[in-house]
Amino acid sequence: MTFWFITLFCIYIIALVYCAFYGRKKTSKKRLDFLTGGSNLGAVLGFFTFSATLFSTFTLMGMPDFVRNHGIGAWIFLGVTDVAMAFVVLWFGIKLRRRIANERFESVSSLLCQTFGNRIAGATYLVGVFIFLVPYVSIQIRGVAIFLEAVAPIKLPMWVWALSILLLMLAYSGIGGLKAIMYSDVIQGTVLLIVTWFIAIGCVKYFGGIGEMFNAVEQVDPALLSTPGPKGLFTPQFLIASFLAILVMPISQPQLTIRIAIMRNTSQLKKMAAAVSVFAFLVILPTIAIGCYGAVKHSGASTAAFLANTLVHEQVPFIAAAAIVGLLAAAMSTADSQLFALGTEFESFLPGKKEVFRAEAAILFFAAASFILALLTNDQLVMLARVSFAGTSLLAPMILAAVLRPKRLGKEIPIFTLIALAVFLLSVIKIIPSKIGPIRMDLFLLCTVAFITLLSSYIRSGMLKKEGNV
Amino acid sequence: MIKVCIWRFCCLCSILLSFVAFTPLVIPSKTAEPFVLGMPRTLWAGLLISLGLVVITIVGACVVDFEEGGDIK
Repeated sequence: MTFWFITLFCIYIIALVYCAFYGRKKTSKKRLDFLTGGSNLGAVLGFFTFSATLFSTFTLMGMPDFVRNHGIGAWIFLGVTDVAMAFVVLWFGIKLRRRIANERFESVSSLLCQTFGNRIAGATYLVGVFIFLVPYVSIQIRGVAIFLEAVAPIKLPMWVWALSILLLMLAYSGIGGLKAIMYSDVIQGTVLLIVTWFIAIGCVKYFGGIGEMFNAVEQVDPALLSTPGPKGLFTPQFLIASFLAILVMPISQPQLTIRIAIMRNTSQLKKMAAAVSVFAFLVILPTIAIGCYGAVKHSGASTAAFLANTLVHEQVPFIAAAAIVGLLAAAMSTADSQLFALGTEFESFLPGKKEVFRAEAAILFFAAASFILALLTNDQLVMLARVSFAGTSLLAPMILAAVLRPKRLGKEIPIFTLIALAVFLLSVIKIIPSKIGPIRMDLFLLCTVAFITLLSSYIRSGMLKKEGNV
Repeated sequence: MIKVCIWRFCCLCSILLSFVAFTPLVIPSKTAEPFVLGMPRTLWAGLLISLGLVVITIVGACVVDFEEGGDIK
C-alpha cells in the first residue's frame, strides 16, 4: 500500500499546488476578489465547491459509524435531510440574490449590519459562528489526523498530521484565495464520491447482494433495521430537530451562504442546486452499505478499529490508499472553506481600512484556535458535528429576516438570538438541562427564536404601514 | 403564470414530503417490514422520499422564474 499511498498523496499535493497558482492567476489583486473569488461562479464549479464543502469527514467516517451503531434510521437523519437542503439552496438562493441584486456581496455579517442598521446583528452572527464552527473544524482535523496516525504508511504522530493539514490549507488558500479553494474542491469532491462508491460496492459484494446484506444485519441485531435503532437514538424528535438544524445550514453557515451569493447569475444557481441534490443522494447512499458491513463484521469494535479495518486494511492496496487520500480531501475541503469564511466574516466586520492581509491574519488566528482545539477535543465526530449544526441553526431566523424583510428590523431579533446561543451553549456544557419537559433544548430554542423573529418582523412591518398611511 | 404555479407546487411538495418522512409511514417504531428489494421499510421509504425531493428540486430549478431572483451587479 505504501507505494500507492505515496503516489496518490503526491498527485493530490501537486494538484493542490496547481489549484493554488491557477486560482491566483484567475483572481485579481483586489481584496474583494480574493475573498469572494470574483463573484463569478459558474454552475459546475459552484456545484463541486458547494458539495465538497458540505460533505466532510462526517460523510465518509461519521455516517458509516452512525449506521453501524444506530441502524438505517441514519438515512432519514442525513440522506433525506441533505436532499431537502438542496431545495433550500434553490429557494434561499433566489431570495438572497434578489436581496443583494443591487449591491456587491461581501459577507453575511456586513449584510446583517447593513440591514439591521447596527452592529449588534453582525456581532451576534460572528459570536455564533465562532463558538460553533471552530469546534467543527477542529473535530474534522482531529478525526482525520487520528485516522492517518493509525493507518498511514508514513508514521507520524497525530499532532504532526493535524499541523501539516492546517499548514497545507493555509498555503493554498493564502496563495490563491477563495478561487484556489474552489478549484481544490473539484478534486476533493470527485475523490470523495469515487472512493465512497468503490468501498461500498466492495461491502455489498462481500455479502453477495443487497438483500443478503440486510439479512446479515438482521442476524446481528434486528433493531438496526428500524427506528429508533438499538440505542433508541433516532426518535422522531431527534430526527426532526436534526432535520431543521441541517436544513438551514446554507442560511446559517458562512462557507455555504457565500457560495450561493457569489454565483455568476440565477441560472447558474439553479443548475448548481439541482446538481447538489443529485450529489447529496449519491454520496450518502453508499455510506449505508459501509455501515451495514461494519455492523456485521465489526459490531463490537471501536470506531477507530472499524474505520481502519473497513476503509483500509480490508481493501486492496490501491483503494486503501485512495481512501486515506479521500478522507484527507474530505476533511480539507470542508475545513479550508470554513476557516476562509470565518476569516472573511471577521475581516469585513472589523473597523478600519479593509486589506487582504487582515483577512489572512484572521484566517491564521482561526487556524491556530482550531489546531489547539483539535488537540484537546474528543472523538465523537457525528454528535459534535450535530451540536455545531444545531448551534449555527439558531442564527438562521435572524439571517432569513434580513434577507426576506430588509426594510425595518429591530434590535430585539439579534438580542434574542444571542440569548438563545448562550442558553444552548449552557445546555451543551450541561450547566442547565438539555430538555425542557419532553422537548429537546435545541428544538425549543430554534422554534422560540423563529417565533420571536416572525412576531417582531410582523409588528414592525405593521408599524411601518401605519406610518406610511399617516 | 404556469411556471409560478408549478414553482409553488414544488415548494408545497417539498414541505409535504419532508413532513411525511417523520411520520410512522416512513419511521414506524421497531418495524422493518415490509422489505422491498431486500431493503427494510424505513430505508426504501426514505429513499423514495429523497428521490422525490431530488425530482422536485430539478423541476423547481427548471421552472423558477428569473423575476423571482436577480443578478448581482
